[in-house]
Amino acid sequence: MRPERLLLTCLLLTGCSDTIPPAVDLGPDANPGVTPVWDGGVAKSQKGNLRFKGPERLSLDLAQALELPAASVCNELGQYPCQNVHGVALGGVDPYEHSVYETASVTGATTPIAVERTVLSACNARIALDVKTPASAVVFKGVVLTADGKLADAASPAVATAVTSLVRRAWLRDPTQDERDTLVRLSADVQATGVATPGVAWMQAACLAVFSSAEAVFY
Amino acid sequence: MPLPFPPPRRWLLPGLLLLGFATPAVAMPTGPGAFCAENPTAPACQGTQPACTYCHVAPPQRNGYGAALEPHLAPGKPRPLSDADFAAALPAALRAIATQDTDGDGAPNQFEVEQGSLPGDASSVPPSGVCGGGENPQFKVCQYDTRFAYRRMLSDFCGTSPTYAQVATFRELGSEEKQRAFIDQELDRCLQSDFWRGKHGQLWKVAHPKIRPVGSIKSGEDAGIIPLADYYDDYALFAWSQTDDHDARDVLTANFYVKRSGSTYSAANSLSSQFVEASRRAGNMTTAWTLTSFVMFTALPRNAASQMYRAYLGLDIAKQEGLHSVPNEPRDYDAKGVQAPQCAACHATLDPLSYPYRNYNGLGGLPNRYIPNRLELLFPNEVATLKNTPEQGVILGQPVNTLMDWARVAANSDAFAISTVTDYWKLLVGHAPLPEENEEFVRTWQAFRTTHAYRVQKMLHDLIRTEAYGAP
Repeated sequence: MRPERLLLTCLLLTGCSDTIPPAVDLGPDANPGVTPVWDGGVAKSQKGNLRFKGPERLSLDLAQALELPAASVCNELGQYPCQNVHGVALGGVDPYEHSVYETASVTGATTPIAVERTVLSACNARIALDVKTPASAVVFKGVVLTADGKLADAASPAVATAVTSLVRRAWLRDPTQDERDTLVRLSADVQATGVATPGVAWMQAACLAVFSSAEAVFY
Repeated sequence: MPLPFPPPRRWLLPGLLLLGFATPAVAMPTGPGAFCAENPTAPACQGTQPACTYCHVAPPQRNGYGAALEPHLAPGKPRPLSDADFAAALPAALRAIATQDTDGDGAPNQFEVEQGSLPGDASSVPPSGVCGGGENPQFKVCQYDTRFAYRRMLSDFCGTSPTYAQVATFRELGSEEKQRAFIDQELDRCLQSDFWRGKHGQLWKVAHPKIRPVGSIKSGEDAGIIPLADYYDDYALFAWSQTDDHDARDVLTANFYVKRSGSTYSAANSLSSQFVEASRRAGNMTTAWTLTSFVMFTALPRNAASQMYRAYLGLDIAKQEGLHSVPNEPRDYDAKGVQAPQCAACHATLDPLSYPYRNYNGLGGLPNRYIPNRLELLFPNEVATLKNTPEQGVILGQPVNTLMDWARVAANSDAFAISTVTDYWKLLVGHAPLPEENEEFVRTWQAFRTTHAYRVQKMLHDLIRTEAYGAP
């Protein structure tokens, strides 16, 4: 992933406020919901051979992780699948019409934009469903919004659980305590921007940050 | 036991190395053997031979290694050296610079030769063999990591990552043996998926550079505006040859066609879109699409022959790969001037490679079929010597009488096995085999030829067990 994409994610994840909601465990009978931190120096890969998911895997993974029909992950003008429209930008091929028979060996300048477009579309689709029909919410289950669109309680177990759920779906592991706290803290930063619906905006930011991270778009 | 054939991009190196000392247009067939005779255990000589870039920037311009070698090659003897003189002088010259570090990357030349990196390229260094210290909560970074391999395998073959719950279940399997067995089981399941074998799936992706489709002239399903031939038949035969218990060589040798229904492929004796009779068929080399797209209107279909050579053997003549000069060639039957020295180096291989296509017609006349005496019937106004073009040709140094013979020699060559495994290596590992992966790569393609009798699916089980694939 390009440096600016990683930087954006980092910025989103490192916003601070004075009131830090504590991360909450998932409750009895559930594991703590966090991954232990290794602070003694993480062993590094000698290969660094991560592979970009490309258009098909990115879309299929988003559909699976966010429990969406594959056809509703991302469509331009509501009808043209993003994985086709942005196929080459997303590292795909276009053999029949434009003689692009092989994938590019590196991601392009527009790849991060296409990734974010696709991820944000999928996140919006999931959030819209979760907010509209809370009883059948998948990710943001039990996250209560106030009448003016704010998170009713950023420190609630439901918010922490939603963050853990996002991370598990994208990274296939539990978040570290710091990762979870940072994503929860993000709500305060979003609200400080004065956006009209800060609760939903936080959901979008958290979902985008997690699903467009290097850990989610490479494998 | 037949001698292994030099594979993609490799065997010409010393030949080209020699070009710097001989005339620019003459290939030196003794060079590759001499290099590998001197370095029999070098990774570059394990079923392969070094590429031009081993000693050259772009032939005849030498890189640092080639330049360092030159003064030690039979000093004092007049240039150009003969094949025999070159072959005799090369071992001593290689030894003379063995301890030098010509590319300045800190590794002596001979160490690089033995480790599989390039002694003339400072960016190519021997694998360090050193693993980082400390712990890693997510990955076993120095060895095969079953969890990493499981995630990667599902993404590669099924198209989706496992879920968090699936990863947890996988971990609960406990022993690595059980986890590896589970990965194999899941691979078999994914190999049946639409993502892998279906229309526009991963197998089709492997086939794109071979078939080189053009949508505007496609006929049949998804026809273009000028429908000429249906390349979905080519994809179907390719996918057939790579799936189930089928022989991958069928892609070149089949005398049948393949029909697709969803993700299921079945053999057929005839198709309404194909016109070559069974006795003249050679898999995807003689389909309507190949003849339309690569033979087109040409009398001597050099383009068709070179594309098949490139697509299925990994030998790109345009990059001076796979050159096996045939004595007294090129004959230049079509008077294109290919006997000029700057052309003959490649055409001494390419033209004999093309002769077996002489009676396969592309566009014009009776399209996309075998026509006896095609050159005489359809090209009466061409140069008179054209009709002397023989149907007998030469591939990989072996004389062949027909295109079916051509296909059989090609399909049974090391080059075919290497090219096939390289395709999947690039798809699944993400790059062509690296020096440190060479041992696993050689083991994989050799088992593909022997133990697995050219069954791709069995080879894929081997491939995902390599550290190249499963060590993060």
